[in-house]
Amino acid sequence: MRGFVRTVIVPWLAQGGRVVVFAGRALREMFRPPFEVRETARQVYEVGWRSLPLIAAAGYAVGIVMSMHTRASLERFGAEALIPAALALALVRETGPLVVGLLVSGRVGAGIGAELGAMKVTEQIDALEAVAVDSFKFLVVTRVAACMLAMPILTVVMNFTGIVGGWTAESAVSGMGFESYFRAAFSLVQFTDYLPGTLKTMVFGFIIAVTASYLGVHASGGTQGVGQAATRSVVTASVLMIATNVVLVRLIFFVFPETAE
Amino acid sequence: MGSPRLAMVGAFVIGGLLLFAVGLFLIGDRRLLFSEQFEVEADFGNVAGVEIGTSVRLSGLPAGEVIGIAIPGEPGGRFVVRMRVREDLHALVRADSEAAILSDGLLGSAYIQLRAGTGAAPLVADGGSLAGVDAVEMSDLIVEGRETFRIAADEMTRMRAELSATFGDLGDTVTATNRLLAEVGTGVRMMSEASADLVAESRGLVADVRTVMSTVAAGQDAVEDVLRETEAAMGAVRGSAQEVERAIVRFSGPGSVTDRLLDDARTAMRHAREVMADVADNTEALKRNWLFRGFFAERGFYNLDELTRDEYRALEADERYTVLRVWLAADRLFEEGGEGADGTLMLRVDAGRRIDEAMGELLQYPRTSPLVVEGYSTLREDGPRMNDARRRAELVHDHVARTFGRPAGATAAMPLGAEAPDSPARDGRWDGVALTLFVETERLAGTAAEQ
Amino acid sequence: MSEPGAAIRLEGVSKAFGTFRVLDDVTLRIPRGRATVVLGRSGTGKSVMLRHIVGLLQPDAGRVFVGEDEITALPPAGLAAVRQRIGFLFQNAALFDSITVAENVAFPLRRHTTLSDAEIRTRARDKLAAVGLARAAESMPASLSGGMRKRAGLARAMALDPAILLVDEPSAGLDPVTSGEIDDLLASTRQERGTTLIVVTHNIPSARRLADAMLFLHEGRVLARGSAADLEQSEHALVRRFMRSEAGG
Repeated sequence: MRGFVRTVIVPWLAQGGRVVVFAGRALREMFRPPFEVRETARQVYEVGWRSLPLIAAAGYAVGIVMSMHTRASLERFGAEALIPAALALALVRETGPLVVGLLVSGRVGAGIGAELGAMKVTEQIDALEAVAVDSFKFLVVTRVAACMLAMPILTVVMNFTGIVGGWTAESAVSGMGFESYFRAAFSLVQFTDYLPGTLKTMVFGFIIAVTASYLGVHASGGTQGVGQAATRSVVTASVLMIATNVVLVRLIFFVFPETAE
Repeated sequence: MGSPRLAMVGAFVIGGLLLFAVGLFLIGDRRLLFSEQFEVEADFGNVAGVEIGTSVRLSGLPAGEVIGIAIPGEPGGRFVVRMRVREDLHALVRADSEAAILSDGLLGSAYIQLRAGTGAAPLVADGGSLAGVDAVEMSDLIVEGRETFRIAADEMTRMRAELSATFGDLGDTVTATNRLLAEVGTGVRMMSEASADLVAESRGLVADVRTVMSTVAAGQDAVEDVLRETEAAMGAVRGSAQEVERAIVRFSGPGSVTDRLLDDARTAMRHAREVMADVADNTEALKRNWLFRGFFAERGFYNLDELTRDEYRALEADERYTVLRVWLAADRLFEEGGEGADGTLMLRVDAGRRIDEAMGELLQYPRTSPLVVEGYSTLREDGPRMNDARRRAELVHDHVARTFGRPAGATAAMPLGAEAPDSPARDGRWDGVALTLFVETERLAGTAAEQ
Repeated sequence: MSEPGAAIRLEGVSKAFGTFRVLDDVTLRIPRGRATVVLGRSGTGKSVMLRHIVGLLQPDAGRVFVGEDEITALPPAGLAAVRQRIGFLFQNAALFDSITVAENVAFPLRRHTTLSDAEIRTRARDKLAAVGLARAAESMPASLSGGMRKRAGLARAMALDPAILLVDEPSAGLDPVTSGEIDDLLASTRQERGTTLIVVTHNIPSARRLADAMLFLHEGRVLARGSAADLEQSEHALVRRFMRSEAGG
C-alpha cells in the first residue's frame, strides 16, 4: 500500500502540481511584457480562423439535429412555437460552448501537443532558448492567449450557425421565415445565459492550451513521444474541460441565480 | 506571418465580435435597452412563474419585461411586480388597464399580459400602478374541475337510480351518462340549449299524454285510435330520452354552467319520468286487459297463445267484468270428417243454428264486449285433449266471427281442456264449448236495469 | 583565478540526471578565438557541458562564466544578452520547421536587432550564401537534406555574428564528404571572424581538422587536454585508443 502511494499517488500528485504551476506561469506571463503579438496573431490564425469551417459545419449539423429532437418532444405538447427558443437556449447555455470545446480540444489540442512535442524532441525549443527567446512566452503563452481569444468567437459562430441549422430544419417543416425564426430564437435568451455561456469558453481555451502545451513541452522519446503528447493532450484537455464545466455551471448559477431554472 | 494571414486574423476577431454584438443587441433589443420606456407596477397575490426578465405583453404585443418583484412585508400581503414597458405603447396603458399573469400554453413560460385601458381613463404615469388580476393556476383549475365533476357524478348516479326506475330506454341513457363522466368533452352551451328545448318539449309531451290518457279513460269507442296515439307519445318519449342522451354526451365544462345544466337535465328527466309513469301505468293496465289481445299481440306486447290457462282463469276474477257463459255440448255441434288419419273435426250441418241460438242470448249486451269461445275436451291424454279443445273453440269462433261480424280483436278462441267448474255437468268437466262474454260490470248493471 | 583571454570557464561544475552523474566537478577554460574540440565516447556529458554554457541546463553545483559574466547567477534578461553573443549549432540543426530556411536565419535578427525588414532579408541571404544555400532560402526545412540543414543551422547560429560558436556533433548523420564540407565551413568561419569555436564530436578526423586544442571527457571528468599530439601520447590507454581510431560518425 505504501509502495503504491509512493510509486503511483505521489508522482501523480506531483505531476498535477507541475501542471498547476505551469498554468499559473502561463497566466502570469500573459500579462507581463514583452508581448509576442505577432506570434499570438499567428496562433489566432491557426486556432481560430482555420477552425472556422469545422466549427461552422458542426454548428450547422448540431442545429439541425437539435431542432429535430426538440420538435419531436415539444410537438407532443403543442409547443412548436418554442422550438427556436429552446434550441437557442440550449445552444447558448451549454451545447455551443461544450461542442466547441470538444472540437477545439480535438483539433487544436492535438495540434499544440504534437507541434510542441515535435519541437521539443528536435531541440527546436532549445534552439529558441539558444537564440535568446523565452520559449515559454513564445510558444506557450501565445497559444494560451490565442485559444482564450478564439474560443468565445468560435462559440458565437457555433451558436449562430446552429441557429441557422435549426432554421433550415424548421423551415423545411413549417416554412418559417429566417428573421422571425431568429427573433423567436433569442426570445428567451437572457444576458445571463449569453454572457457567461460565451465567456466561460475562455476558461475552456485556457485549459486546452495549457494542457496541450504542458504535455508537448514535456514530450520525450522521439516520434513516439510526439504522438503520445498529441493523444494525451486531447484526452486530458477534454476531461479537464468537462469537469471544469461542471464547476463553472455551479459557479455561474451562484453568481447569476436567475439562470438556474 | 504575411499580411493576408493577418487580415484573416483581423476578419476573424472583428467578425466574431460583431456576431457577438448582434447577439447582445437581439437580447438587449428585447429588453428595451435601446428604446425609450416607462415603468409601471401591478400587485398580485401570487407570482408563480414570474421572475426578473419575464416578458410583458400588451394585448399580445411584446411590450417589455419585469424588472423587479417586491416581496410583501407580512403574510397575506401582495407582491408588487415592477415592469418596464415601451414608451410607444404608453398611450394604451390607462388607469383602468389591468395586468394578469398568463402562461404560454401548458408548457410555456409565464408572461404578464397588460390589457389596454379605455380612452376615458387617464394615462398611467411613469412609475404608476395598475390593478393586478391574480393568475388562475392550472392546478387550481384542475382541482376545481375535479370537484365539479364529482358533484356531477353524484347527480348522475342519483339520476340513474331514478331513471332506471322508469324505463329501459332511459337506462341506456344513464349508461351513456356514466360513459360520459369518464371522458369530459366540450360544448356546454349546446347542452344547456338542448336541455332547455328538451324541458319545453317534455312539458308539451306530458300534456299530450295526459290528454291521451283521459281519452282512454273516457271510453272505449275510439280505443284503437287512443292506443295508436299512446304509442306515438311513447315514441316521442323514447325520442326525447335519446335526445337527453345525446345532449349529455356533449356535456362538459366549468361549474356555473354545469349547475344550470344539471337543473335543466333534472327537470327534463322529471318530466320524462312523469310521462313514463303515466304511460306505463296506463299501458300496464291495458296490457293486463287481455281483451285487447289482438291489438297487443299484433304489437308484440301480448299474445293470448302465451297466456296460460291459469292466467286466463285469473282474468275471470277481474271485478271490472262480469262473465256470462252459454254452454254447448260437443255431440250436438261436431262430427268426425271422413278423411285424414287424425280424423278432421267439422261442425255438424245443424251446429250453426244451435250456435246462433246460443249467441242470441248474448246479443243483448254491448257489441264491443269481448267474446271468448272456450274449448273443452275430455279426451284422456293431455296432447290430444288440448288439440281437440283448441279445434273446437276455433271452429265455433270462426262461425261466430263470420256470422255476427264482431269488432276486430273483440273475439278470441281459448282452449281450456277438461276442467269447467261452472259447467252444467256435475263432475266439473265439460266436453264441448262455452261462449263466454265479458261484460263490463257497470254496463251490465245498466243493461240489467233496462230489462 | 580567471586568466585573461578565457572565453568560457567552468568551475567545479557537476550535473546529475537522477542518480546518473553526467558532469562530475568539471573545471576547464576555453581560450578566446581558438577552436576547442571536446572529445569523448557517447553519453559522457559532452553535449550536457555545451548546454551549460548557454544556460539551457543549470549545474547542480559549480559556476559557468562566459567572458566575465557568471551565467549561472544571471537574471533572465542578462542571460538573454549573453545568449546573443553565442551561436549554437544543434546536432540535427533544430531548424524551426514551420518557417522557411531564410526566415530561420532571419529569426534571431528579427528578435534582437532593430534592422529593417529589407536589411534583415539581405543579411539572411548573405548568411545563407556564405554556407552555399542561397538557392534553398525559400525552402521549408523539412525539404532539405541533412547536410543542407546543418549548413542552414550554421547560418542561423552565425546570424548575429556571435563571438562564440558552439557546435554539437557536426558530423552526426552525415557522409564523410558532407561532414568535411561542414568542417571547412566552421574552420573558415573561425579564421575569418576570430570566433571562439567549441565543437563536441567523437569523429576523430573531424576533430583533427578543426582543433587548436582538445579536451577528452570521460565519465563526467576531463580525462585529458592538449593538442592532438598530446592526447595521442596520453597516459590513459582509452584516450590513445580513441585518438587512433579513424572512425567517423
